[in-house]
Amino acid sequence: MQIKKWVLTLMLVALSTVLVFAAGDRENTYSEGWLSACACDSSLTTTCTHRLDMTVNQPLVAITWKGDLQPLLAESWEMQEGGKVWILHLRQGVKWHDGEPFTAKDAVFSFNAYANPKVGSRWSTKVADILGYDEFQSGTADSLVGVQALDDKTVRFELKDAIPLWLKLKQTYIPIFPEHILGDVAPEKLVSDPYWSHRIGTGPFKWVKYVDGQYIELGRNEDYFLGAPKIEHLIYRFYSAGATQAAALENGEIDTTAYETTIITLDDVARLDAVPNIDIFVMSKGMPNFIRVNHERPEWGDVRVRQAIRYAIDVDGILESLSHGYGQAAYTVFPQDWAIPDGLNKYEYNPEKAKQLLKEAGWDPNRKVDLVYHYDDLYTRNLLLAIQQNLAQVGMKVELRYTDAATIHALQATGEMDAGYFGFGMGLDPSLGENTMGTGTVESAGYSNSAVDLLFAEGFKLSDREDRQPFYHAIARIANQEQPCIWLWYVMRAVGFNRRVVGPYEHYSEEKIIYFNMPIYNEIENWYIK
Amino acid sequence: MLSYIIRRLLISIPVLFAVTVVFYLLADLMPGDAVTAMMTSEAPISRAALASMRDRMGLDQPWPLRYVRWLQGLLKGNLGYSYITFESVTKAIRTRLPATLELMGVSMLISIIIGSILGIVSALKQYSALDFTLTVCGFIGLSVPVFFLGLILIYVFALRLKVLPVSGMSIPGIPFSLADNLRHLALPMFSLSVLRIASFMRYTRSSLLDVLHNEYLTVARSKGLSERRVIMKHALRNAMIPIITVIGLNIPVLFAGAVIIESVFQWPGIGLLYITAVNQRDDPMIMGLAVMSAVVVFLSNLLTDIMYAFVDPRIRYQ
Repeated sequence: MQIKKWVLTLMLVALSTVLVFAAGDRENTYSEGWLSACACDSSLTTTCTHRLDMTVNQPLVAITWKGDLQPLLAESWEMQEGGKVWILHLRQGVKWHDGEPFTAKDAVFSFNAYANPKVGSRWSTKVADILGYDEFQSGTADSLVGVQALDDKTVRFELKDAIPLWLKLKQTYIPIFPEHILGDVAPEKLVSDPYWSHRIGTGPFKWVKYVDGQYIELGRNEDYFLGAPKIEHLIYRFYSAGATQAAALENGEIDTTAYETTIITLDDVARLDAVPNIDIFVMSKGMPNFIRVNHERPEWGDVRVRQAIRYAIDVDGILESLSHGYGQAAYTVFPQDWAIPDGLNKYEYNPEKAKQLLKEAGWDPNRKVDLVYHYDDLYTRNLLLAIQQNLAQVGMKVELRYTDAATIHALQATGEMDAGYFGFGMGLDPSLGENTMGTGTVESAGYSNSAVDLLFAEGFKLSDREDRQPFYHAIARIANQEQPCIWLWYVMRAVGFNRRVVGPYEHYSEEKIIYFNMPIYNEIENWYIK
Repeated sequence: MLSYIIRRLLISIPVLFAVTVVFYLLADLMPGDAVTAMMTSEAPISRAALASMRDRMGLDQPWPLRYVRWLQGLLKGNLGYSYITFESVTKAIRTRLPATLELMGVSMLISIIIGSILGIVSALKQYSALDFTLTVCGFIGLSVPVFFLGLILIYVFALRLKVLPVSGMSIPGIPFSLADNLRHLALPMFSLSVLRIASFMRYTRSSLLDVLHNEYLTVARSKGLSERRVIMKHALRNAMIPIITVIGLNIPVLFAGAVIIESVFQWPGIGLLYITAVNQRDDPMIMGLAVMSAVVVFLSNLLTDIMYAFVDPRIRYQ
C-alpha cells in the first residue's frame, strides 16, 4: 500500500513537471493576433485577410502612413491623360514562392478576377473605375478591356475617367495572385479554391501551414525582392474572444494584438501598459463614432432634432470620465485635419438649447428611441448609458438594445432601424467619408444630399491637396451643420505590443488615424527580435 | 433486444426529420441572413446589390423551398457548403470534432471518476464535516459561471503563476507534442470539469443514499458480508442506474462542444464552429451541426436504455 502511494505521488509530480515546463518557444518567431471569424478566406471575398495580401501576396504598389506610394511589384509608373491612363513597369527578376517568374500576366489575371461576374467577388467595386468594368459585369464583354499587358513586364490601365489619385486610393487595394496556379481554375470555383489556405505569393513570407481555428504559419522568403526578412517565422494566431487575446499578449503568446476590432478596451490600457515589456498605443483618430438615425422616418428628418441630440450629449464629460482622457470630440465626418475647416460649430454641451430645439421641432416626449448597437464590451455599454441619461435630461426617451452584427445590418437593410451607434476606421483619404454620407447605400440610412454627392465626386477628380481642400471643407461644413449622423468622438483603438520585437510598435505609433484594410507598407522585412 | 433497437431506429427517422424542420425554421427566424452578416461599413452597399447577392446565393427564396433543396442534398449524403468559407460542412465538422472530443472526453472522464468518488464518500459519511464541506463546494461549483471561472483560471495560472498557456491547442509552429497539448488542455478542461464534478457528486450522493436505506443491504450485512462488499457489490450497483442516465444525457455534450469555454480558450472545436456559424448566419453549417447533434442525442439515449439492461437485470426490452 505504501509503495503504491509513493508510485502514485511520483507519477503526479512527474506529470505536473511535464505540464509546467514542457515546451519552449521557437526563436526568431513573431506572432500577431488574428480574428477567429476571419479564417483563411479568399482575398476576393473578404478584406480581413489583407495582412496575407501584404505579407504573402503583395500588391503592385502600396502606400505608406505618410500617403506616399511605395513601389512593390511595380517599380515605376507613368500617368497619362491626366490620370486616365496608367503604365506600370513591373520589377525584373521577381519569382513566385514556387520559383515561377512573376509577369504582367499575373497582374492582368488578378484585376480580371476581381471584375469577373462569374467569380462573384464581393469587392468587385475595387476595380469599378477601370474601363470595361460595366461591360464585363453585365456580360457583354468577357474580360476587363482597360487592363492590358504591353509586354511581360509592363501593364497598361485605362480608366473610365481621369482619376489622378487612382494609383494611391484604388490600385493599392488589389493583391496580385499567381496566374500559373489560378488561371486554370473555373471562375465560379475561384473563391473556394484551396489556394487561399495555402497561398503562393511573391511577398516577404512564404506559406508554411494553416491549422484550422488555431493559426497560420509563415516562413521567411530568402528571395524577397526588397531583401530577406530578419524575422524567420511569422505566426497569425486566431482568437475569438478579445479578453483572451489581451491575456495572450500579456502572457507572451502573441507580440501584437489585432487592430481590426477592439481587443484592449480603454479601461485596460493603463493596466496592460504597466506590464514590463508591453506597450499599448492608442490610435485615437478613426472615423467618428456616431449615432445614425433613420432619415426615412419623418421625425428624424428635422435637422433641429439631430442638432438637439448633439447639444444634449456631454461629449467632453464622457470622454474625460469613461475614456480615461483619451479621445477627442468630433463635430463632422472627417478625421483628417486638412479636411476640417476652421469655424465649425463645436456644439458645446447645452441641455437648455437642446430642449428648446426639440420643442421647436415638435418632438413628442413620449416617443421612444430604439437605439441599437453591436459592440459587446462594457466600455461601449457605459458610453451608451451616459448618452441615454443625457438625452433623458432633455426629454428624449432612449431604449438601448444590443444586437449582433448580422441583426444590426439587417435592421439597416430593411429600413427598420430607428437609431444606431456606429463607428469604424477611416481610410487614408477623406474621399472615403462618402461611405457614411453618400446617397443610395444601406449605410446612409436614407440620407441624401446631392450637393454632398457632387462635392465628393469632384474632390476625387483632383490630385493636389490644396485643390481638393475646398471640396472637403464644404462637405465638412454641411456634415457639421446638418448632422446627418450625430458625430460624437473619434474612434479610439488600443493596440498592444510586446517590445521584444522591434518594428511593429514603431510602425503603428507613427500614425494616430486608424487605417484598416488597405495595404500599408510597413517594412515588415526590417522588423527584428531583440 | 435486437427488434427493440430496430424499432427505436425506425422511430428516430420522423423525429430527426421534424428536428431538421424546426431547426431550419429557427435559423430562418433569426434576424438577418448571411448577406447582412457579411456587410461591412468599409464597402457601403445598395439595397439592389444586397438583393442580387441574395439572388445568387438562393437566399431570396422562401424557407420551405430552401429547406427542401437542403434536404435533397442531405438524402444524398451531402451537408452542403458554408456560405462564408465555402468549405464543405462535413469536412469542417470532421476537422473540428477531434478537438471537441479530446476536451469534452477528458473532462467528462475526470468528472465521472472524481465526482462519483466524492459522491460515494459524501454519502457514506452523511452529515459529517466532510459531507458538508463537499456539499458547499459542490454548490459553489454548480453556481460559478463557466466563463468567469475560465477567466479566473487564466488570470491565476497563466498571468500570475505563468505556468500554463492562455489559449489554443499547442504552441504554433512546433511539431506536435503530447505534453504541450496537455498543458494547453489543462485550463479549459478544468473549467469544464468543475461544474460536472459537482453535478456527478451530487447525483451519486443522493442516489447512493436512496439505496443505503434499503432492507436488502441489512440482509446482506446480516449474511456476514464485509461492509466493502455490501457497498461495492450491492449498494453501488443499484445506485448506478440514475447515474448512468446522467452520463447518457451528457454524451451529446461530448460532440456538441462547449461554446463558451472553447471561445474563451480558443479551443478549435465544434462549439467555436457553431457560434461562428450562428454569428455569420451560415445556414448550411448551422444545419449540419444540428443534424449531427440530433443524431448523437438520439443514439446516446438509445445507448443509455441498452445500458440499463446490463446494469439492472430486472429491465428487459422486447
